[in-house]
Amino acid sequence: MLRTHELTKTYISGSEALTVLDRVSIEVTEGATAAIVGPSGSGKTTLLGLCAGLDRATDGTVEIDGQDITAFSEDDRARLRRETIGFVFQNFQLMPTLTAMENVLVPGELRGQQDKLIHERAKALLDRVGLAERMKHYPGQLSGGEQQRVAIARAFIHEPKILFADEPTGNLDEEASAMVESMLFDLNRESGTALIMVTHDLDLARKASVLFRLKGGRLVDANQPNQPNLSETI
Amino acid sequence: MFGWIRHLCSSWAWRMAWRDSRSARWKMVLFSASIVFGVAALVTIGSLRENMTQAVKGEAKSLLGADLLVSSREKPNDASRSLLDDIGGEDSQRARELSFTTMLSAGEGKTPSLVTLRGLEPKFPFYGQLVTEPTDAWQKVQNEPGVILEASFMKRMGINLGDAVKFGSMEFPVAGVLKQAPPSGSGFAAFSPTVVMPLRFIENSELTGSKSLVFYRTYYKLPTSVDAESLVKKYNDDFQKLRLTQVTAKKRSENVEKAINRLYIFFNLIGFSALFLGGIGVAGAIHIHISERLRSVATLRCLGCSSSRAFSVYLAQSIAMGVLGTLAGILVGGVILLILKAVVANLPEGVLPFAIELAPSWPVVLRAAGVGVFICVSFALLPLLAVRRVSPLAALRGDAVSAGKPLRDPLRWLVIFGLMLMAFLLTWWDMGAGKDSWKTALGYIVFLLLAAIVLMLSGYLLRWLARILARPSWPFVIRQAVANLHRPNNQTGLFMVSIGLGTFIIFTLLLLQNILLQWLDPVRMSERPNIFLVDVPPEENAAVQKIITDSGVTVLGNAPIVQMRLTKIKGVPVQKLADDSVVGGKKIPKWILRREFRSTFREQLTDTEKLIAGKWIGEYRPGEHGKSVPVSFERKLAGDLGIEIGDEVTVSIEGFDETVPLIVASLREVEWQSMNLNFFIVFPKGAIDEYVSFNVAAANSPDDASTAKLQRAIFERLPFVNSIDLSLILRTVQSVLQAAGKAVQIMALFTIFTGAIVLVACILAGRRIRIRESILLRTLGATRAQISKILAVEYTLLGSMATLSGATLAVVASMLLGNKVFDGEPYVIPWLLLAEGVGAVILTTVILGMLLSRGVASQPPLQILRSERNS
Repeated sequence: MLRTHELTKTYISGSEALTVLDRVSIEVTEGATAAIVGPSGSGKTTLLGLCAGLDRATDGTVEIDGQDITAFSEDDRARLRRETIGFVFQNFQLMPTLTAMENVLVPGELRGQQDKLIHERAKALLDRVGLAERMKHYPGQLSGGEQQRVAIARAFIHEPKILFADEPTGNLDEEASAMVESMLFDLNRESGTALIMVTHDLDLARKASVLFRLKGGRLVDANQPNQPNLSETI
Repeated sequence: MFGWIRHLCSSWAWRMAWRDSRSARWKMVLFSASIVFGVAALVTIGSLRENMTQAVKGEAKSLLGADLLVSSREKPNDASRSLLDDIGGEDSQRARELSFTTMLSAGEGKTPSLVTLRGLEPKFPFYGQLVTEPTDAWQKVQNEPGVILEASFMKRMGINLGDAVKFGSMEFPVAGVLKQAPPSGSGFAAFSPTVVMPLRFIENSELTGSKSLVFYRTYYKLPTSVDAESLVKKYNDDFQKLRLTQVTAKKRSENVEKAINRLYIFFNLIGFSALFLGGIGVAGAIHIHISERLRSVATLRCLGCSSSRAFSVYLAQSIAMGVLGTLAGILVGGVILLILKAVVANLPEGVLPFAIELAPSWPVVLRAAGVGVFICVSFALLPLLAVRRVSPLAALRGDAVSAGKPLRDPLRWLVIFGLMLMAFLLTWWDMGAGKDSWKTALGYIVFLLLAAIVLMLSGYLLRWLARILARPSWPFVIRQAVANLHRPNNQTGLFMVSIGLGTFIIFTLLLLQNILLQWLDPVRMSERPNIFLVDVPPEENAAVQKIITDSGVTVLGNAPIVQMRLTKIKGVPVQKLADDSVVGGKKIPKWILRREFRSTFREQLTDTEKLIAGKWIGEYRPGEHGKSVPVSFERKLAGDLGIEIGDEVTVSIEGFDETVPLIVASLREVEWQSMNLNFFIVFPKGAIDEYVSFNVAAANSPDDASTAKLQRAIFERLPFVNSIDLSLILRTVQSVLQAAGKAVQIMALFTIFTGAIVLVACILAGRRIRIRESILLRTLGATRAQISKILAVEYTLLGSMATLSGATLAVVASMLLGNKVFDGEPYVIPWLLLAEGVGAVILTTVILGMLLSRGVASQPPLQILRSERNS
């Protein structure tokens, strides 16, 4: 589903070059769950951004669903995100002027889906995340956990093949984190969506089927997450 | 690149635009209000022009009172009479007029006054009417001698119906009050009151005998089968030969339309300036609105929205704002027209020369709508373009969303260029898209643009100064307020341009009015002539000088007048030049070739003229220059005629049938505005002394009593001498200028309202940023009083700098203009008026800023945090 090859990102600042991601190659299969872990500044978010087509790599390739997106134009990347990708952010990124229902509908609307079906699906998803009664509420009227649940519903509305989650529980308390985690994994199982998370949360990382450890912009390990020394690497 | 056009046509863009506006809808309504008064001004001014032009077109014949008018400054001779009788054939109707200025006395002890006496045949006017009180006064005076006077003149002179008035030795009773004067053949407003009476009572009287300026006019009502324009073409050569001038009803209405158009252009530019200011307000407000939406844009981009699609959402909002503001502007313009209609309906009969039906003109409304939406959207585009540069990565990163460097965006420069080009084309189109008007239109746009650039640079300067001047030793409140001027997301630039430009436009209008009034200020005239005695017979010259002196009035000048016309220039007959009007590749204005020159002779230059070329010759020595007389020409006239030192010109002396060859001996620069006795052509003494028609005396009267005494003395001794009281004329001009000033002030109101709305929009747009800062400060322990003081100091600094910059620009503009009007003489800048204006604008800025920031400092931080998060 997702494959990167020798992915490199270098920033030029004046005469100096700063490589934040250095020849990283990873692969995530369809329906799998993956966690990207590593200390701050290790290049996790950069890797996520490149994989999701939010930024351009300096070198290397990214393949999503069999398509090499390296040479895609900005509009093609937007189309790819619209069709294939879902996002969950640490700070939720709901649009403050849209109701919960409208926020969930946006990805479907961007695909041109405005029929009854998409509304029914949005309702069902909000019901699924326990917010059926609050679909007309604005983000400002919801708690952090509720906002993240709306974001999860939004991420799944168009049935993406791959879901990128950036610290999905980073801004939540324990109880809300647990709820969001379970929803992410449940929906991943139900829809067969590949889930790729960037996280500092050890418990969350351990739930993934594959784990990528980054350090100083390099992939230092790619294996099963249930190893005893995981906390040392994060 | 233009995918946004496709997206703009999708319902999603408009639905998202509507949803996105939820928390800011009332603010956006306010932003759109920035253009309301600009559009209203365009609708009002444009509709007024259309209404007046339609009225003029509809009553073209009433403006002249006839189909054709033929005028002469000389008493018609046999040839002229024969031609005048021939015009239009037997089926045409004719009415003659004899018009001149003369002194009218209302009786013993009363000061005589200069009036324009119009002797008319009863048939005139053929179109339109002569309205009197009593209504049959005009019919009555046909049989019994009598005059009809203007009501205001009668009031000023203390004359009542039935009183006797005297012109020279002739006495007439006042038979009626003139409510609506018959159409005037001159086409210009007279500075002296009009008196109407039947022609036959003055035609062969003593009154015209000594007058230098008498108009003999013949009005024609032509059969419908005869076209006045064709007739003019047919007789053109004869008219020129006999020195007759003509005007058709069509030509007169065209001239009136041109005058209306000139006024329209001036007022429309003021309206357009208000719209331009509103556009800047829209740009500023949208800039802040968009900066608060960039995170949402980044999210949309993450969710698969292309940059052009995201852009189309905010463009849709701007279009909606433009449409809303424009519709409101049209409504306001319509209301203003309704008010004007009510005012016009209540005007006394005869005040307006023709009936005007005031109503919005739909082509004007459509055009104003187009211009309003265009200006609003174009200005909004400048900050909107940032949406295209928002990276989706920004949603992933927690830091502030940046839209890159706008100055490097080529599309931004394209929009600015397009905006300026369209503004230029619209202004040029308004000016009639003529060959010469493009310079004025370009000058206006460049001037406005320069003002905006200077104000922007002032903003940079203020930010720079705030950064380098701030000292840690300053009190906290001052330090914080100064820091606010250059902190990220500051509004310094926006305030500088919006308040500064508004101040600049308003102050320029006020100073413009001040320049005109100052130019005619009687105080300025205290050392200059303020009374002229015209038509003084040469033999009475000494007696007149004595009367002037005896009346306590100072004689400043006395000049013998010789009336002449040009007959040849550099050997080429004027007749030929009038046909070709080109000498050596230079076109000579026809009016110069046809006009009558009133020249003089003297030995010395006066102190209001300066020799700039050649040699001044004060005394004529026959034979020194062959048969030619060496003369001095005024520089500009010589330029128009294309003549230089040594060139030959021939003139014919009026009334003497003499032709005199001249040689240009010198050129002079004349200060015409000095009001002294100045002349285009000055002869040396001894050359034309025997051809003097009359003398003119210029004098300075210290007060109205001395003027009245002089006028009474002159009227008693020489009733045919016209005494022109310049201070009276100046008062008339001043009252006209004051009325025009009122119109300018009303137009300035459009700018003032726009400026106020822009100011409110700017303050409200930045309210959220101020609230965030206040929350932080309050959380850290700042008191409400401290936060209020910080805001007050910040608004005072912003208001002061912006107002002073705008006022400085206005002063520079007015000094340039003043220098032109006063021709190098010092123009007194009304500093007190300026200081009052500057103070008023600063105070308004601070008061509005503080009023609109209410609640920023008084609510608990948590409450504000919640309300802001929800908005």
